[in-house]
Amino acid sequence: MSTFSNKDEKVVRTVVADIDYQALLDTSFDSYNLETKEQSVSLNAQKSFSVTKEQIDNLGLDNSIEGNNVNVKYDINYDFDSNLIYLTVTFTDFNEIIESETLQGAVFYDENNKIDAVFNVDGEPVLMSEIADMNLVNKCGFFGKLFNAVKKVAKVVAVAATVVAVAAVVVSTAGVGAVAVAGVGASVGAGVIAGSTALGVAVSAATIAAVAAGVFVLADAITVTADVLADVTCDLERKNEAMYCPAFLVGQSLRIIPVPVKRSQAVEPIKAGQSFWTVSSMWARDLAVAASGGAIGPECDNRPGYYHHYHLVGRVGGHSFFGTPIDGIYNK
Amino acid sequence: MSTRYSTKEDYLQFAAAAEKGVEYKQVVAEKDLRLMNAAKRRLGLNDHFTLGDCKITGVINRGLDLVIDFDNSQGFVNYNQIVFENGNVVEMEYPMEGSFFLNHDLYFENGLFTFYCLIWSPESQESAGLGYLTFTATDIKVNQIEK
Repeated sequence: MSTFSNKDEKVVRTVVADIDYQALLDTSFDSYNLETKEQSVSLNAQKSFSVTKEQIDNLGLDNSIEGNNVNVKYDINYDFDSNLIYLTVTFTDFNEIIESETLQGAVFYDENNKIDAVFNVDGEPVLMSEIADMNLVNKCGFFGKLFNAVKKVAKVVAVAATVVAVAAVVVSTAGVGAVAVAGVGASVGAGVIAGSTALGVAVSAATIAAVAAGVFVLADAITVTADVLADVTCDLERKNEAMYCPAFLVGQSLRIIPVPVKRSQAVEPIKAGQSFWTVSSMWARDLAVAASGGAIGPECDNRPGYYHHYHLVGRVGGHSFFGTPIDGIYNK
Repeated sequence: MSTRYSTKEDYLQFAAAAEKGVEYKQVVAEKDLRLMNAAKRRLGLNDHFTLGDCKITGVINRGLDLVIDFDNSQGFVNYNQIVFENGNVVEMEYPMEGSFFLNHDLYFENGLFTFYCLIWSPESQESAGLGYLTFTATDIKVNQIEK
């Protein structure tokens, strides 16, 4: 597991982009266009497959097209600032769109310093490297819908996203005159979760990437202690804008993922029921207001160990917690 | 007669203090504390018993008992039903269903439990959405039921 060691210590690693992505692209797609801009890299590619009867059944196509071609179009965009990668796969039968869905993911380096990406698939984190594993294709919601047709292209999708990720790193680092990236997962922290690497709390690159992709997993959350809260609080206070840690209620305890996100990233999740914790009542209130146009509270069950929080208007969604627990008791 | 501590005024003062980052302490009379502890001991509850943030989803009378189902997904407890045996509704400012439990006080005195609860009701006429609910019961049970 990759961990972040100390607040001001940064590990500099040289990224060797040894993947010949041009060759991969040439062999993987019928046609493609790879474009690099100042802040983004995009790949638009296409590949055709002959449709079998099984694929017709799985994709709900008309039987009459058996033996005909289905076109699969990939639109992949990687944004340097946010470190987010967007993958849209569109299946077309002649000119009719059969399936089209966009996944949001985040790019990170795995423990072997290889580029990987994590996508939010129906709320579950799915690694690009896992998608490339044929055995997992049918298990993940989005790709599961596409069944066999995707089986054939899953590796191509993985290759395409990796190509974009590699290209992105090359382009971004070339801009500062050196092919070097500071710290494991530093490219991940490029904006959305800037500063996470400064935490004294050990957090895996995959967890950071999952948070960046909007996937908040209880297994990644840690029990709040005075030390953890002090570290995270210091880190958040150093920033000039409000940041929020995903939070979970486990029984009567609060756990947080010490990887803060911006308010804009917390709005939709809190509306959907995900709770967040932040430093100040003002930031906590602002999140509730941003998500619902108002805020209820702050309130708190006035018992040792409970946290003050705001609710969204109508008391829907998650809690917007803030501050330290009542009476300074962290673990009930 | 026991005192209601989970009052609307108290809730608002607590909120104002929290917003300013100031600690707000309630002073509970010794006699009341004794009756609260008596209730907790009888029911085997710890200091963290709270229905706060649970949403009332159903209220039924089962014989003499009052059974309240609630959604605990945003609450701090694992159970989702509370049964007031020989339950009696003493005070109900707003309809229970759709309301949320906030703070509450629980007493045991003269063989009877008294449950004072502050609720947040979408039908409340007050700006903070607050209302009162009070039950008495000879016994109280909490259950986790499959839904």
